[in-house]
Amino acid sequence: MPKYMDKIIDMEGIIVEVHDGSVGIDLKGRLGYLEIPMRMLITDYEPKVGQEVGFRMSFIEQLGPEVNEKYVCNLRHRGH
Amino acid sequence: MSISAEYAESHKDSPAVLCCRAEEGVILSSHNLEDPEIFDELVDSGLLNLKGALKIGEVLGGKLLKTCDSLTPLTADLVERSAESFAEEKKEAEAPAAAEPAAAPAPVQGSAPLAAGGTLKIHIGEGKGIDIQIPMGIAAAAAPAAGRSAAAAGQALPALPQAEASEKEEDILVRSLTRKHFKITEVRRGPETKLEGTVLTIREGIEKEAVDSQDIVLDLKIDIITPDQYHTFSNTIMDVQPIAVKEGEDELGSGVTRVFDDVVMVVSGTDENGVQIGEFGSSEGFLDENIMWGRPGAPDKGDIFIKTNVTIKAKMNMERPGPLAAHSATDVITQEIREALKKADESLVVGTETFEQHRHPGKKKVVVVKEIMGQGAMHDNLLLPVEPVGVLGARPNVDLGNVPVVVSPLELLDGCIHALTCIGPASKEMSRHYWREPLVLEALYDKEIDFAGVVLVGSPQINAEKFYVSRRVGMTLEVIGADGAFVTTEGFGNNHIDFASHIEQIGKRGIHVVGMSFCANQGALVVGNKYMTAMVDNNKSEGGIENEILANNTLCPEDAVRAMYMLKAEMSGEEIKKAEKKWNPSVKSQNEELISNVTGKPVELVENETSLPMSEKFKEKYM
Amino acid sequence: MGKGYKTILLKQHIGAPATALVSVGDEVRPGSLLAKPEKLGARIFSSTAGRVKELTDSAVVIEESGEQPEDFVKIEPEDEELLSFVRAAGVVGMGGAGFPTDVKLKLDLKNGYVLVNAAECEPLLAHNMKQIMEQCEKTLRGVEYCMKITHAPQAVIAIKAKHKREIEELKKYLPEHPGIGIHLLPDLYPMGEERAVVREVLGKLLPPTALPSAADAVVINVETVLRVAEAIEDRRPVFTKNLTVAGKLKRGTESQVFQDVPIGTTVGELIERAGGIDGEYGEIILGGPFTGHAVGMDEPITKTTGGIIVTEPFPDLKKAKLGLLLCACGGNRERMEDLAKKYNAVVTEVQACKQAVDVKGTLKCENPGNCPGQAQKCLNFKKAGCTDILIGNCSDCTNTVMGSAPKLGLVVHHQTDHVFETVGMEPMRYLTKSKKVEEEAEEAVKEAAPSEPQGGEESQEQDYVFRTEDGCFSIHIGSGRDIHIEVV
Repeated sequence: MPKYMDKIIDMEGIIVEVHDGSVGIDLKGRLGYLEIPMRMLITDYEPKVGQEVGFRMSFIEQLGPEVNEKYVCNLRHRGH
Repeated sequence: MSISAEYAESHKDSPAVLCCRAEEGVILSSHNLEDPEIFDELVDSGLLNLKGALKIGEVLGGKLLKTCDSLTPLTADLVERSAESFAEEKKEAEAPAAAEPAAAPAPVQGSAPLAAGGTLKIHIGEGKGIDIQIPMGIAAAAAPAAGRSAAAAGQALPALPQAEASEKEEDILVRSLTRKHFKITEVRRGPETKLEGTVLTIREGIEKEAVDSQDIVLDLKIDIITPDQYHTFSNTIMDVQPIAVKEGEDELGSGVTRVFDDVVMVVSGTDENGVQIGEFGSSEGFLDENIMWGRPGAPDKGDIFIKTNVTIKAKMNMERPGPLAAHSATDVITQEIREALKKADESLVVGTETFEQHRHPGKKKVVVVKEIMGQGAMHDNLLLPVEPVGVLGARPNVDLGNVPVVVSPLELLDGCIHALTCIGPASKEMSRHYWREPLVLEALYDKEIDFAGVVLVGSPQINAEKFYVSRRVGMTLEVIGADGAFVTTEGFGNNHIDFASHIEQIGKRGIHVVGMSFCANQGALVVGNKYMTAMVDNNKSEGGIENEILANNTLCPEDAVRAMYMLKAEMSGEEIKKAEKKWNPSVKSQNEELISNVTGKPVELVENETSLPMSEKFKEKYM
Repeated sequence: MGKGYKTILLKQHIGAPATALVSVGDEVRPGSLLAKPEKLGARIFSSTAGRVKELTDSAVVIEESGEQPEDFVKIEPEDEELLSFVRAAGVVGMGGAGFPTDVKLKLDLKNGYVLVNAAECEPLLAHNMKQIMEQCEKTLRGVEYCMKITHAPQAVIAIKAKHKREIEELKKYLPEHPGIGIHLLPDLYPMGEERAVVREVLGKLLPPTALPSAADAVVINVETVLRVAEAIEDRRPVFTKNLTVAGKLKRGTESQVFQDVPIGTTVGELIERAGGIDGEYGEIILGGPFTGHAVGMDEPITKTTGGIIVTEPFPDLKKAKLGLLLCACGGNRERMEDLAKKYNAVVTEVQACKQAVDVKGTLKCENPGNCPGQAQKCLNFKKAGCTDILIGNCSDCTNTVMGSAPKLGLVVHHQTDHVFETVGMEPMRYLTKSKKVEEEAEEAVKEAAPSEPQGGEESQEQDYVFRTEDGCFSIHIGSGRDIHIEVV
């Protein structure tokens, strides 16, 4: 389990891509990019590029020093 | 915030806490009490300690012995309890059976079974404007409900005239569906698609026709994977499908369906840049590490996979035509196999199985509402194809506006949903899931209920549309006249908003409802309402999170059994205990134990991801 | 307009603005009729001698002549009915509401009560109490006129128990006025709210939309009662107002009462008469700390002005995320947002008290002074990310907010904080006083007070009706307590 999970921070972003199945979100403050499936986005209106979104997240922590070979292997197969 | 008298009554077993300062000598009423719904938050925030607090039912009418401030839990030393609250307690203790056939919270219909010749005692200490009217003889019948407010009773729909109907123990056979099983021991390639004995041959070169059938499909490969090749890398598994065909002119959901045993179609693919179709939580990797074998929607150990690997145009992986094209191209192959199966000699049938849909008028009418995804692209499903899990003749539920579509249990089991969803592999319901849907099977064989049918409802993207469809669900169940309903959903996310709304729409019509979803840690519900009291969590994963193990957290027979008992308990007037604030897997095991205590047989539990092989590194880390 | 002018507003009451009857250049004297209502409203009179200088849609501006006469133009009622005097004098509710008194008194309360609101509920205001000390007999005669007009056999003066001197003064004269009694109120806000007075005195909680007539009563402010007496006995129209000036003044922060101030006098002139502002200030409030609003120096006073309060400068919250808790007791949303700006805070969340009901654009409290709980609201503020909250709640609700907000890490500001700080009073936070008061003036009350049980909550109307299809066992209980129904 992550150690600092209860440190929740407010995040905001801008929808920069809208696909049929997903949206891409630029996090404000150049804090990264997030692409999420439609069902993880709660919408009162039709999603559009330029709309702002908000959410809360904790910091992302490593769970340990080990490398999981299974995922490394999957990555090797990507873009073959 | 202070609560109403009615609300206090429905929460009479919750702890009693003052919402505001109250002075010594005050006779406590609901207006003095804080809403129990916010206690968890208050406790978490350190504002409240419920230790020693009396229940709401115990303090109402009691006298406060000391001036106390807001958020003071009312403990025994602060309240002089009224005689009523003691009487209430006693009554409950003595007669637990009295609550038995009380159906919906509807007004008393017909004559209530109350001891004739009993005494009606009325004591009024102080009051004004009191009218009491008691025509001789039947006064006692109505008395127990007198305390209930007119508003609550008015909301509930009248219950079915139970007493009358239960006299005729009817059993009506509505229709039946027969599956004829054809065994496959080998799948090979050859010049012609055909079935010889237990050997299925797929025509060489069929790939080109499949590719040509779809504009955006650039390539398609067929891999035949036998059990000894399970440790093979695969792109994201988009779907697992039974290979089945209707016999003659039979329609989906009745008549005869032919199906292959020990072989399944598996759809997988990427775009031309190698990006997985449905790039989220993809279950690409070694098949044996990523499939939860034996789940209703997953392959069984021993199955031969006819796996297509479809390559679609770049960047189409997230657009609606992408996944649809991959499925449609695959179905060109499946359809040719279906035709071979259709022509197969009757002598090759290794077994038949007949599903009968019975109605039991007089029993409680139960409906299964299945929420399926409808947010677009791979959040879509093809409904009611001509052939089981086919493409031809089917309509995407997104195009149908995601409104409720009523199907018979047999249509569902006959492959009326071709699932395009590929998000959240662990909780997604594959096409094969519906073919073996445990809850529908559980309900189909249960003679204690009148299983009316299945309502499929899509989950649209936008909230306004979600409420639009959920109101239709409520109205559909009202028209059906259901007594009880299950609402199931797959995965988690914004679909939980309409999931909750379906339950509210159904619940507020006085219909008992049990919700089923993957929740656990990660999928904790986004919203809730007062009708969401009975919930079954489909989680099987150890940590309570969505992982990439195909079908791991989907609805299994053990969940169906729990849900069925829960609904029956609700319909017979028992109260479902409030869930704990945080996910606690032991709630599930306790319920299973309770059920097996009653039935005398253990609830068989499925395994989870810990049963799968893992790489050495993986073992080091987690074991 | 500055000195030497009086700006007399055409709308000083509930209803439509009155229609001006004078033209520019007309000579006027104190008591000259300036405007008449066409719909619901009240007559408007000149408060000074001089010449009409300017006429606008909203006001008549009078240039004052150098010498001011002692006398005034007497009213000429259309007949000798008492109510006609009230109408002719343009009397309106002087407690702040401004409802035309002649319309209010057009009631038949054969078995009812005239309830005189002498709660003087807004902190710092003192002119009502001074009136009782100085014009007690005339006030009581005013009460009798109201009783005559409405045929009410009884009247009750509702006054806070802490005003011992005023109560003694009233008691001195009460024996000469049969039918008039006293009811003591606790020293809490908002005891002066119309429905709170009805509840406290008669034990009936009215819904926010109901008028006191629903409880067979009329509630009338103590100054209004005096103006009724003046109209009838002296044929004097309403052209002056009693008020209190308080706050950061050179003469000290003690409340100063000004009686019979000509209407149209500016806030600036009154502050000057009270000694002038002492250094830097935050704002000038017209009205009381709870329901008043900020104004400029040129604002003219009207028939409903009760107070002028000069406050200390506001503390700087440095763009803190502020939650506003709206309720009927405090300022409206506009006022709260104005305060947020003055506090230099960012309004992040707005919540309304559960008991606040919107009645024709104004928030009214379902049960004034009795808190419905605020923990949920505080949690909502916390969830919205607020660090501070601004409330305008009554004593009871404020106490409840204090039960949870500080523990959630929310800094609580009350709308009256800067006012109380100015005058050296403790800020409104925790409630330490009881909501109940021993009715010491028992003799007087007994004569007048109703026989219904006292205390609000327990006797709230709860209607439990249950009907069955076939039988018709039905019980209706209008109100009551200690009721048991049992089937054995």
